[in-house]
Amino acid sequence: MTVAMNYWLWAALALLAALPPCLYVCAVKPVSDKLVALEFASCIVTLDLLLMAEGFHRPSFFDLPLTLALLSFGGGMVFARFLQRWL
Amino acid sequence: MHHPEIAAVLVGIAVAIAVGCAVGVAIVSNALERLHFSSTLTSFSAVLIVIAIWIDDPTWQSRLKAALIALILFVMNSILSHSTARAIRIRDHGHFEPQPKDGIPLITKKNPTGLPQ
Repeated sequence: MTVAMNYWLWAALALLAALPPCLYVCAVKPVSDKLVALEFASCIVTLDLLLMAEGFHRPSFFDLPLTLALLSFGGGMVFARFLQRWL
Repeated sequence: MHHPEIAAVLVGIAVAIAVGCAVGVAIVSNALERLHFSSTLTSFSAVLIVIAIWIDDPTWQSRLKAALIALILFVMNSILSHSTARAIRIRDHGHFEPQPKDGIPLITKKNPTGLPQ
């Protein structure tokens, strides 16, 4: 499956520039800030997968960001509960 | 309705907003302030990307799935931000409901201004 580079894929590539700041916060800041950065990063990756799915012109690829959007919500809620009680 | 130029501009704006929010996440001072940036991301960037997909892609499956993803991100991010802020407050203060020792002005019937008496 070869797809010419289009603006969707360039945008997906550019959006990856939003991940290093999240990595910085996760590495350096306190645990509450780490959780916030993790949630932000999962939104970024969801949008990135959305752009790639469109860039590859494959409607079936949209299932990936759809799944990640749902699972990152569940994961964030579990982390928030752990942060509140045990971490 | 195939306008790749318009879609490309919208996607560019969406990516710029996202990267700007990421920089904001890195430079603000505390966790509760950081939480605000994910709502900007899920409301502006996600919606702009979905509009661009609706402009550029004629297949209904892509359009509807993209809209569903943006809707999920928008709704669930608000719930997640609230529960995260609540968890952070409980972790920092040991309780969620405001108490006099927190120093937050409590507006009651007896004290409508909320100022210390």
